Amino acid sequence: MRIIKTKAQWVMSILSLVLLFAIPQIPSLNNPYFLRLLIGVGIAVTICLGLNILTGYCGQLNIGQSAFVMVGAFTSALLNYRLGWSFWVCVIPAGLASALVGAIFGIPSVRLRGLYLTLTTLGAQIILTWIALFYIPLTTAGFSVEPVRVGGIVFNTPHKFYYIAMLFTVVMTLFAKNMMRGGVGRAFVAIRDNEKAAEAMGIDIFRYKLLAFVICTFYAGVAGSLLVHYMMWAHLESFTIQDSIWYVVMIIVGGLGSIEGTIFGVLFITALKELIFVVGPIVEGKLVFLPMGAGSGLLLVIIGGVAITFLMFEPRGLAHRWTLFKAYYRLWPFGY
Amino acid sequence: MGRKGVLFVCLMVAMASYTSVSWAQKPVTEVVVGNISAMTGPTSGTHMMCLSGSKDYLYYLNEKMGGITGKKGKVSVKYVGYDSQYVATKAKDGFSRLEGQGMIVTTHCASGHSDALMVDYEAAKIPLVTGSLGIASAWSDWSYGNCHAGVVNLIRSWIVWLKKDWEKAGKPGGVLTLGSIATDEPWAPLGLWEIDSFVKEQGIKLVMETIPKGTTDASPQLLRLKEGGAKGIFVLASAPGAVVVLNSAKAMGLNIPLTQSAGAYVGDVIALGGPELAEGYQGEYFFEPMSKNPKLEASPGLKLTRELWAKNHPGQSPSDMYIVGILSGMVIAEGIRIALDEVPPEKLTGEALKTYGLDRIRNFDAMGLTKPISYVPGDHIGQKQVRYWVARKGFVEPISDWMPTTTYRIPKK
Repeated sequence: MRIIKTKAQWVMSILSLVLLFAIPQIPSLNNPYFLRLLIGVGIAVTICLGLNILTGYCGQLNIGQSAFVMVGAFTSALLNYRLGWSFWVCVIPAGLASALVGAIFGIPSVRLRGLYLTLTTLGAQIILTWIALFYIPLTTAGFSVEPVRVGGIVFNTPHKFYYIAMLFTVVMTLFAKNMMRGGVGRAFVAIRDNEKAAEAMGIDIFRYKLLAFVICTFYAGVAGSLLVHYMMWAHLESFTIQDSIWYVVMIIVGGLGSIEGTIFGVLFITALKELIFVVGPIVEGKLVFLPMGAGSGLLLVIIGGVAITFLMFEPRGLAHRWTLFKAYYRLWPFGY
Repeated sequence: MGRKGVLFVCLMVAMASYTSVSWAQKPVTEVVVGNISAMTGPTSGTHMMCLSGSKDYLYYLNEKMGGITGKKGKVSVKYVGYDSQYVATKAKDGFSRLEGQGMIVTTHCASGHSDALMVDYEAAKIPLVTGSLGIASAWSDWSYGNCHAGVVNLIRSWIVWLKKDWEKAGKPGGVLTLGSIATDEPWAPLGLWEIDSFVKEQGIKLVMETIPKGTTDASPQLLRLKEGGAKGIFVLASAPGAVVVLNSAKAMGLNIPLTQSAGAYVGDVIALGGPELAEGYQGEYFFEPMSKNPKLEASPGLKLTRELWAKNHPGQSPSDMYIVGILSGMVIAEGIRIALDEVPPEKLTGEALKTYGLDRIRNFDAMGLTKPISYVPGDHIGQKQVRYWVARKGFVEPISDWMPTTTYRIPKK
């Protein structure tokens, strides 16, 4: 079964790609702020795709994803800084380094489940951050990283880096989509739905759980490499537990176990954040009885509320809404 | 292409043709000052204080003086902010957004994540005025520090102070042993950057301990420092960490003087832990503290600061970080004022502000709030003097004169 089945889907896919890559050339959309938001979306989609494979498809909750992003980021940044390797040479080792660390923290998954496994990923966040903070002076102080280069072109502005971010986002999305349709994806789903039944069917639970950790953290590592070469700066403070929580919220809102849902979730939360940035200070200005900073604090309240709302009323996330919309649209205007 | 495809294309074209805000820079009669701070997240309390300080001061100038006036004209200030959430990528998003709104100077009170902005403000030629503990002010020609010599000089200046007193006392014990206790907040280990070589150079001994964030007991660390013979302990922590250290010290009856680094201020510790707990706690200040000590006369700058606080934040408790913000606002206003002596308001860009304004600031004492600030090429640290204060009955009072800080710089990488 192919991802793209009909001629119309081919046309729409190509047009979407053309539009995606044409955005920096469209006058009303090519302001740096908007492009930076889209770059952020692209990097977050890559991170969340990995997380959704592990959590949504394989059922192993990971709340330390940003620590694995950090491993990839610092691997790439240090290879660039110490050895002068370019982004294109650093990106795969960054993914592999992160995957290796992910595999180490994934080993307990054979014996631990649910909340207990979640706590080991929280442990990963704490341990890895501590190592970067106290054992590697360079990562404590922060250091500059070379931008991405292709020939004579330096991708050091939002207008240029946008293409790199989108290229990786598209490739990693297609890779994830394809992988989840195959045997590996089906094994993950089987483990998620019923571990004992999956084992009875001959699925090697440990191998596949570990593989899910490796894939998840490989995605994180690649995204980390992208992130530092985009920021041209590597610093510890970019990888906090709060980021890890955001990533979990994004896949919950988008839809666990859905590649499209990952994209929807990242887009939705990013748009919501930006909306609150605009509305928050206005609310604070109007409601004078609110304490200083209350307008900005709305962000946490609203996004927390959104996550709870989705868990209660639409646990399958925006991906399910999209499926319903497609079903309706296919029959439109006749509902039969 | 079928009907669905056509509809899809139409939808995309409609979205693409939607005209958003204009990003062209406005002519300057109103200058835009941008602030990128963590208004939410773990450091939001201090960052909001800092933001409010610069905003309140610049709007006060608008209100009272109609803006900032130089020989070539007058400008009013428009203050715009962006919540970075203490995330470097968001700080970059914010920079682009504020740049699009015509920002000619940026300010913040953030730490390392805003160093990530260095490449952006240098490329955009928009100067940064900051009271951040971060290190960019020592690195970038476009960054201007307003009140201290950077995070690495906090403990170094303290060591020099205690060593001088110890030498005056005839070097009791033969070797001076000091201690430090740091939390695992990202900025804290940075304060101890290459401290071993400095300690060796000074000919003293430094015993170092770390407490994890969120701990409620620092007794084991304090006990080790006591057993190590520390004659003074430097606390590299924000206010909650300092309160934990003070609680533990009190519980074990520790009589070694504890000194708070400028990661937070003694005023914050008094507010958080209470006057009784903070009694005798020392702290370093690079400006006049906010504390209303009836025994001390406030400088004109401090009087104004207190008025601005009372007017803009009635019923709320101030923090010393508010003064850091006020200082940023004052430096920005002074830079604009000097620049307007050379360039007319409509030509006041970020580059003009740097060249004709900030780079020419000399001996600016911010109405007595701090020691004179001067910027010279290659040195934008600002003022380089520190004074030590102690908590007494809920207020702070000085226990040293102003003295020079060390001026070590972490090498740029």
